[in-house]
Amino acid sequence: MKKRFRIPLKLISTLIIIILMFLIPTLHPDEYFLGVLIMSLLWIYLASSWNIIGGYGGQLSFGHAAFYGIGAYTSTILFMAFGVTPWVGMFAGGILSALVGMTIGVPSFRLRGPFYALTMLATAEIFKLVFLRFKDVTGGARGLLLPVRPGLIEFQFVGTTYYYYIILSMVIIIIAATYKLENSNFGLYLMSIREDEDAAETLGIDAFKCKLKAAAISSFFTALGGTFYAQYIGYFSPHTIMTLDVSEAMVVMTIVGGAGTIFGPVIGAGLLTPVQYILTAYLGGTYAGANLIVNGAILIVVVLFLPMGLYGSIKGRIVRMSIFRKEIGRGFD
Amino acid sequence: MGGVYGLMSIGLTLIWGVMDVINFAHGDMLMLGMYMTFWLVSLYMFDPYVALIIVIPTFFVLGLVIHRSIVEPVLKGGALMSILVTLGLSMIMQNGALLAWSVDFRFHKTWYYEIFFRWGGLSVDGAKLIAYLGSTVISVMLYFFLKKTSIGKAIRAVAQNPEAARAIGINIKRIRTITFGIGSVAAGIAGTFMSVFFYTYPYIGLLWTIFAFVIVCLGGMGNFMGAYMGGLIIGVVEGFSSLLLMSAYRNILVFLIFIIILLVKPSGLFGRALK
Repeated sequence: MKKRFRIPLKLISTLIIIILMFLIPTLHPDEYFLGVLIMSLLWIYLASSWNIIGGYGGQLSFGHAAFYGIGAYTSTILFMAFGVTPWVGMFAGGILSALVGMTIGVPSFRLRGPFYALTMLATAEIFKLVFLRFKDVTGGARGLLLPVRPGLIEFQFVGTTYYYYIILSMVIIIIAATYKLENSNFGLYLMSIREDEDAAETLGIDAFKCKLKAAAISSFFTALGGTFYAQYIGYFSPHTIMTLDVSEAMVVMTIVGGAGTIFGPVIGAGLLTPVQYILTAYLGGTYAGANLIVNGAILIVVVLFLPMGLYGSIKGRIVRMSIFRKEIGRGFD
Repeated sequence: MGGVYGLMSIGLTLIWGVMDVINFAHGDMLMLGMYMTFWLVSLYMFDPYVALIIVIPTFFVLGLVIHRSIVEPVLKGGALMSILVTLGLSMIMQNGALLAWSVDFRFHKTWYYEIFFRWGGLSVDGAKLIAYLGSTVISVMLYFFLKKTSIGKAIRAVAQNPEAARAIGINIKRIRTITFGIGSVAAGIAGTFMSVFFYTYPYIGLLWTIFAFVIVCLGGMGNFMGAYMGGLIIGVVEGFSSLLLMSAYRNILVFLIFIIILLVKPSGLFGRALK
């Protein structure tokens, strides 16, 4: 009886939220407001992508900006040089960065501890330097400016509303993917690796393979975000999208919200991105970097006092209980 | 250059070995050391090497404060938690430096930089020579400090087995704090040496952090002599590659070495097998 009531309730509330989110542009058609909302959604999307390997897998990556950049550059170069629509380029970039992600994983996932974090840090820097170097293809430090050619095929629109719908759909997809992950065997494998890799391997889980798979999924989604950014802003360079700041932002937002939870990145990025905007609006011109100091301070405070993150700390007990219950349920089925 | 790399990595490897903390802010500490020396030299007309008198105690205290306030509380959470807090610290330091001193590249030319020593086909400026010799001397001093003094022995004991160290009456919290202080001082001194022949700017900390990690992995984690030798190797590789390749490829080469080491011999050239 209970079960029949609970599931539709969840579904209905989710649907209502989604419908409300889709209605926002018509209810409140303000370009600046929508702009902030789009960036918040983009960061929610990116943080959720990071969360797959960083939160569920427990493998902190400090270089997801590399995948972000690969996504943006692949689709844009394909579009500008060969006229391939960014809709296709998006997935080309995704697949490419999934391959890159797996290649990086091969040397570093065999080891435990901080090696993946370090390798990713170095990798992101390598990619930044390479993109800065090959000026003929990437435009070097000047970056790439997309030709203005609005149209559905070109992934360019007049006004922000369409971008809003696209990024909203992307966020819904990634949340659904995370939900699926959390409730799949693969997700459970990942979490068990995070908690205790030795124990997981004793149970017959191929930790190396699982981590590789998670890294591939995570970098694939991150690259799609890169394409979206390129199409939305229309301009990017290694200095704007491939810096450590970008990688750090994904880490901070996920950790602050609660790593390894579905809604942690949503809360973290949803709170921090507007804060960034407000800080930049008030301080940006004169005090460059002030917003990042705030980010760093928030990160330290959260790690010290709320190690589970905002969402994790509030829901921690309930979530743990429900996982426990689910496990028991599975055991008796 | 290699000697300074060695000294900088010793600080990192010491902290890593003793308390399993990966200090992501290590390079930023070095950056602060560079800035401090730069300001002492350019504002107060200090000799850069006399500035060490101020740099060393400042960094020791800084290390103690950082350790007590943010590192010690997360030690139980494992290496990943410490990465996160030091990452936050690194963001604060980096952007704090940016805020306070802008992105300008700063360099104060002293006469050390202008005298040259030549032998054979090699020529080296005074600043680099002093940096190399000074770093080596300090590394050797640190080595004997760890081997001979009671505090040094206690530090090694904590590194090997914290529980046993506590059982024989070592105050491990105090030892860890001191270790962090020493690690910071190593970074500060390396910063002082570096500022005499290298540009100082806020983002340089990231480069040094990565370099220090590469070197520590090359030498084997927590391995004191390994870190120094690794520093020398990377210094030499860097020097030769900048002769042969464009300077931008130099960093790429160093990062590639890192990845190759992880693939081939993750325990480092001089390390024991990983646990």
